[in-house]
Amino acid sequence: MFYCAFEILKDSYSAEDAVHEAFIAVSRNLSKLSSADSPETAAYCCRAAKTRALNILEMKKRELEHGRPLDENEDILFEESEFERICALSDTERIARCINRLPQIYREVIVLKYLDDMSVARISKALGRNRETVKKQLLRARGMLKKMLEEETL
Amino acid sequence: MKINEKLKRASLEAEITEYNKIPDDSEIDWEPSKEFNEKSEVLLQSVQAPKRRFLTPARVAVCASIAVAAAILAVGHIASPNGLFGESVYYSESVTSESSPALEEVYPKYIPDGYVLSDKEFSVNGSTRLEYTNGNSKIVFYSYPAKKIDYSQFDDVIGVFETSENIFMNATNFAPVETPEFLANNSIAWNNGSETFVVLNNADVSVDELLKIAQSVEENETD
Repeated sequence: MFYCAFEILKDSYSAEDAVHEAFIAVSRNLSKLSSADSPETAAYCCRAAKTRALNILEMKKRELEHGRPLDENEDILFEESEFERICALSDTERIARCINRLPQIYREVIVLKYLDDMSVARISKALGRNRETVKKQLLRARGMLKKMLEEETL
Repeated sequence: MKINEKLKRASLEAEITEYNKIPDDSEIDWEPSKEFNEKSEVLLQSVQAPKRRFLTPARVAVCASIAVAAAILAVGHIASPNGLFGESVYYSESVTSESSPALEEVYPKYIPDGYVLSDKEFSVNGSTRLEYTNGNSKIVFYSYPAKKIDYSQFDDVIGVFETSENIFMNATNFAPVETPEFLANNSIAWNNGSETFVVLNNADVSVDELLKIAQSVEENETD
């Protein structure tokens, strides 16, 4: 968990804070976890640490940028049905590979949205990002995924 | 496969792939700070005893009664005269097809179809245990005067239930409680201010059905 948080924050004290916050989040969800040794549980713990780390990172950025939300003025042109079509044609392994090629800020919103079934509001709270920003990042992430999947298909 | 389900699986695969890239603990150069260790100690303690400070007497009663009743259901026998309640003395009555009018005062008025009263036991401290069966499974109704119980004797058992997030009291004071699967399926407990009631079952009786049983007891109490 520390490693995951440190990779994002590059600061051991902040990473330790992220680990503590993740620890609390994990302890609240113990009943949802399967066995302690399973890869799913390990991945969940790492994701919890990463999510907290990204939240802390976001707070730090906001402090520097005086509260300006990220990506606020970016335009997104995106066909949702096209994304669904290309996903339907692709196998999960290929989609997983493309998810891991996404830039981290987009990868996290995709994972929280689809793996944890989080709403935009909850993702926004978990990552400490503006709700509109999360919406746009989610759209953009899907757009990027679509493009990657199309490229892989070709 | 639906798109969302496919994306969920793909996300999980992606997460596990990422996790597998993490180096072994021995390769990670990290010496936890003193502050980290101190805070971890506090967090671990709070996780080990997460709800104790929030337990009200009523909630403790609910937890305790669930524990006791679940044990009764599992073992199939109520506490002996020298058992859990110490000074309590229980006596059983053989059950006939007709229940006595006096006993009806404490019975639930509603029991799901197919279940019949198969056992009833009472203690001198006012505790009651009624067992209903349909031949395959049981519903156990349990009540006791909450004020007469020394809750501290249940500390060990209550600890088990503190790990559950599902203990809560809603506006009507009914508390569906998640019991360990080997003890019972659904269960419900409530406290009306003077008595604590528990209904357990080891079959597939729904929480809605248990609520009906509970409400029928409350109707009895207010008649």
